[in-house]
Amino acid sequence: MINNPSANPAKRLDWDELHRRLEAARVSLNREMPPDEEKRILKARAATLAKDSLDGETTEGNLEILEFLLAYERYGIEMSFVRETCPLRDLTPLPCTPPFVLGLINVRGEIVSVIDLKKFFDLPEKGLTDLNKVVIVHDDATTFGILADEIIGVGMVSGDAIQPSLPTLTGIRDEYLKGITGERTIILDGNRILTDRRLIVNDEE
Amino acid sequence: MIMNMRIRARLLLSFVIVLVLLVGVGGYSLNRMSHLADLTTDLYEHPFTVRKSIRDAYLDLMKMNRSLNRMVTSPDNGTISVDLQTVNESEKNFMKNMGFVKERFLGKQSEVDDVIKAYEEWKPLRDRVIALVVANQKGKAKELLTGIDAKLFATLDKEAGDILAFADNKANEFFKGAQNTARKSLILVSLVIVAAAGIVVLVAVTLTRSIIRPLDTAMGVAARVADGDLTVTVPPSRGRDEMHLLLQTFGRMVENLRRQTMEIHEGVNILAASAGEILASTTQVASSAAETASAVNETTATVEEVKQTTQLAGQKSRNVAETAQRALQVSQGGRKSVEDSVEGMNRIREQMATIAESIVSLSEQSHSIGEIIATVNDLAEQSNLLAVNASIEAAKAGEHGKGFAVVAHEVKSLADQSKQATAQVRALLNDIQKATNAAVMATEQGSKAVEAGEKQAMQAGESIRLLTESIAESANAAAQITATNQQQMIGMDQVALAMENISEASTLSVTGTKQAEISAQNLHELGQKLKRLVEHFKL
Repeated sequence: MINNPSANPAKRLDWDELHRRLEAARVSLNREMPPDEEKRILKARAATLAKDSLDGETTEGNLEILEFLLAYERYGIEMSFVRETCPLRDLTPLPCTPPFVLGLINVRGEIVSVIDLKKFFDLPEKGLTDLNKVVIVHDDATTFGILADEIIGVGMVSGDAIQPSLPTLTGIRDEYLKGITGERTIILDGNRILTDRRLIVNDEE
Repeated sequence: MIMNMRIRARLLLSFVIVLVLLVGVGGYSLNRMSHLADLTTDLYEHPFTVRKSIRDAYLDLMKMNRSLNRMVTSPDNGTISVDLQTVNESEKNFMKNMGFVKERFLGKQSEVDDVIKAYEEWKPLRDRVIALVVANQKGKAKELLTGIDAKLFATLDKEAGDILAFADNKANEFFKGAQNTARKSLILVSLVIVAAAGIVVLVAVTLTRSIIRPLDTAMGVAARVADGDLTVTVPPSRGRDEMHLLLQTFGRMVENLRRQTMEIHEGVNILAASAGEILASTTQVASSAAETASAVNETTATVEEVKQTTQLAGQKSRNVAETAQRALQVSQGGRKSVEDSVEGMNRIREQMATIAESIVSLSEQSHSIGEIIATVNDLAEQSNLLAVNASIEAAKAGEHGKGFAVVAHEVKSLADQSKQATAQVRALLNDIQKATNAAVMATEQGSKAVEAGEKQAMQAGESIRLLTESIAESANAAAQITATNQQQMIGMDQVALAMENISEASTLSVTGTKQAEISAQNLHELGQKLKRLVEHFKL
């Protein structure tokens, strides 16, 4: 095969080209962006973002929600019920609890129970990973965490865009849902979830 | 009894009989003849002799007288002496005859004396005449002579006539006696001869019959044999004489002849058949010889072509030898190249190992990068949450937290970008990982390929080594072929020469076989002729 260079000319290596490409890669790898350029890019980006948020601020009656994913469906909950979000770490399962109670987590010294809404909505299980997040909701009386597959972020929804939930839905679904936006984000009713007695396990037992 | 005698004895007996008869008849005849001879002698000695002597004496006298007359009358004197001599001789003879007569005469002696006396009287006259003649007085002599002659001759005639008459009578007597005797003897002898002849005829007939009869048989047999009839049988014969023995022998001979002829017949048949076969064979041989001659001619041409081909082959084999030599050098060079390529393969394998190690270390480094990226991603995730929490705090703060909400949004955006960047880097790292895996596998395959190539190169080296040996052998063989070809060319020259000779020989052979064919034809005809000849014999 050495003595037969014409056997496969398509695979013949152009070493000069290869060297050139290597050199270019090395140069690009070692290139450092100049500080002015970096600052300029960041400023331009901040300006763009600030302009968007200022537009949403003008309308009254808008609902500020936290959007997250549950089994590829977008759900939202009103910001007023959200205390914070945190990654799902060190989950301690609780024995002798209903299946929707995943367990307990420690958030900066505070023990918070985590429930899984997918059990209520008959959504397919996706399994728990380190990437799962917990949205901690609270009101005056209770505080617990809702498992989310991914946190999308904070968003504004105008009150007009929220449509009432479908009449075909019954039971707990109908109770927990507040509406659905045009972008198919399901808005949860935080007040009802927090005040639902069925979620309070220790009272029953 | 006669039949049992041998022919020799028979012949001897016959001849003895004939001889005895001959002797008897001859003796008797001789006896009679001697008797007749005695009679004849008597006749001769007495009347016949006397008569003759008287006639002679008379003639002498006449002679004398004639001579005298001639002497007298002849004018010539030359003949006188001759006549005189004649006269003297005649006188002598006269006297002698007259002496005989006197002696033998059976009659009266006086008559003879009278004659002599008359002569004595004439004699003196004669002498006178002669003397006259000598004296040359012929006239007188003539006269004298004429006178005396008449007187003398008258006397003489008378006397002589008497004597003659007596003698004639005597002679007649004798003759008649002799005739008588002779007649008797003739009758006797005739009788004897007739008797003897009868005996001889008897003997001869017997003898002849005893010989002729078997001879006839033999002749009949011989005639039939001569006509070619060999079926004849000789009748069995009694007797033990030569003829019967001859017949028996003849029978044996015919038997043998028949047998031999039969054998000859068979032999001739075989000969004819053989001659026919020989003719056929010879014809075939002749045609074969002709074919052979043409074949030899073709072969000669072919040999010439083969010779040229051999020359061509010689050139080719020299070329082959040179080519083999070159191929030997080339194959040695190829062997060296293969060794070099094996070394190169070794180097390539080492470099492949180096490449594999480099790629593996590269892969490990990209793994480290992946870890770093994981950390970065974690950080981005936390930053995102942090930004969300910040937004929540800002929302809680109400109208005062609006600026902070912008910052939190900005932070979230950065975190998202970081996440995207880390996702891209991760994708890139995945690509790099795949590429490095592919590179490692390719290197492994390359290494294996190099090993296989090395093995193949070594095999090729071995093959080339074997090839070199083969080519060396081929070169040797080509050299030997060239040498052999040289010898073959010499051999082909000799073959061509030999083929020329063979061609001439085959031409000769063709003419020879033609002659042989003609000879076989003649032989065949001879065989047929012999067959016809033999078929004449009835067997």
